[in-house]
Amino acid sequence: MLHAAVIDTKKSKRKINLARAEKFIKNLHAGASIFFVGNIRNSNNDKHVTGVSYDAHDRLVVKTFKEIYDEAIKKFKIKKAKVFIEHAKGYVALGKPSIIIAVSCKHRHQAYNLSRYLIEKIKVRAPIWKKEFYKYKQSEWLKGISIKQ
Amino acid sequence: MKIKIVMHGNCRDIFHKQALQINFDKKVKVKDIRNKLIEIIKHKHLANKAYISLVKASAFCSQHDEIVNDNYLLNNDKIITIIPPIGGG
Repeated sequence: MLHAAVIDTKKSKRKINLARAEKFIKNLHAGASIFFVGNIRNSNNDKHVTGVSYDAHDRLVVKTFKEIYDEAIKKFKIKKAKVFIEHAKGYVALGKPSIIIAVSCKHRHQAYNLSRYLIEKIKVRAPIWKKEFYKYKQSEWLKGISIKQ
Repeated sequence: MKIKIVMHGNCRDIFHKQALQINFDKKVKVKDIRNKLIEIIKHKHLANKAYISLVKASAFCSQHDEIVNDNYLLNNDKIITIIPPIGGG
């Protein structure tokens, strides 16, 4: 079972948070739960980062999350897993989460595999763009990875 | 044929818009849209190499939320989205 969403920090009344993830993945069939939280850190490529703004093609992002989830479930032959994925859109301040991936599975190796697979594929396939903000009001879109066919 | 090209990421800053409306005389393929965007950059940004490379490396997404290649013909599509190189997380 999957919950996948893009949360617009301007439009949405709520922010991405662990409590919702924990509630969603609660699973009596599961002996293992893993929470991955991607936070905004204060440096990148020797630059002092003050915050990050994300842009996203919301529908395609959610579709991509579902495709990656389906692939992972098949690849690792996992049954009765619960997965919660939310990514922020808009401005995210230093130290705040930009992505939460929570998984619950029967066994720990499945949970580790699933969590790692999801984040690694999201990084290279989900249409999300990151603009970093630096000191003195400077900013820059990060280079990114082409998904051109 | 009027096509709306929706922008994301760096493309919004390059074209200073969230979407461009462009008229095409004939039936349009994705490669025509890519070439038109490169033409605009040549005209408005003195052929900025980084911007041209970005458009060349970009994917395109149809109204049906499918990534489409350069030969995709926009039959009934009136909207297409440019997907510059991605990097979330």
